Amino acid sequence: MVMTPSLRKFMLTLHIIFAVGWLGAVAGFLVLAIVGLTSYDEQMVRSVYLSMGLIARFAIVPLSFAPLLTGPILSLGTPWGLFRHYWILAKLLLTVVSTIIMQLHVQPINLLASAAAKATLFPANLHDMQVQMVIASAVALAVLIVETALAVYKPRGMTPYGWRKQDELRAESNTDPK
Amino acid sequence: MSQNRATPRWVKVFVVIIIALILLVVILHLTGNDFGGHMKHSALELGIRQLWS
Repeated sequence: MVMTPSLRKFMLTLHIIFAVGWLGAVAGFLVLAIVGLTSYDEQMVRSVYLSMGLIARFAIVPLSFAPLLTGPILSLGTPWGLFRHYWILAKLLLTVVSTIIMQLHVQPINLLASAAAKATLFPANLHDMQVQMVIASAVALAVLIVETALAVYKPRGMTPYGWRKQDELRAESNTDPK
Repeated sequence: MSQNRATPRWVKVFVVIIIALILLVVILHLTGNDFGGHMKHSALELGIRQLWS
């Protein structure tokens, strides 16, 4: 099914909003994670982890799932396809892995946020978790930057499936007298 | 017009990097180490436990 140009542009706009929005939310999350780890101001640290909980719940989680919907719709509705080009496969793989890893970190984020909400002094035994938040969000940001670069540069390379589909289309157009 | 159907170099490099990162994470976890130091309740472990419970 090939989308009309107006529908394709609409889906592309949505996809870019979600994907770049996700990148921005993770960048902000990383800043907060670094401040939470390095600051000696108790109030600042507690505020940071409360904010991180909100950003994760209302921005990062929904924005991470949205491109998994708009991306395949966009691919399958255009001649690009979902499995024909390596750059699209790479983006799909990176998005799936990033979303899974992000989901695995939701509980620890909530733990840090609730610890910040309940305690007057932020617990010291959560230090390792604070470090992991910095590392995880830095890695997530790097992955999203790579995905953005892939989307813009669209490096060449068709999969074997893509070559097969292209051969089939060419065979059809050769045999179809117009 | 001849078409080069070989897998592009960037794809091979990408796959190697992904495999290397996965191996790194697995080895670190198996040896009891992690990016945040020694931790019994790391963020990732907590998330995995929650997922499987």
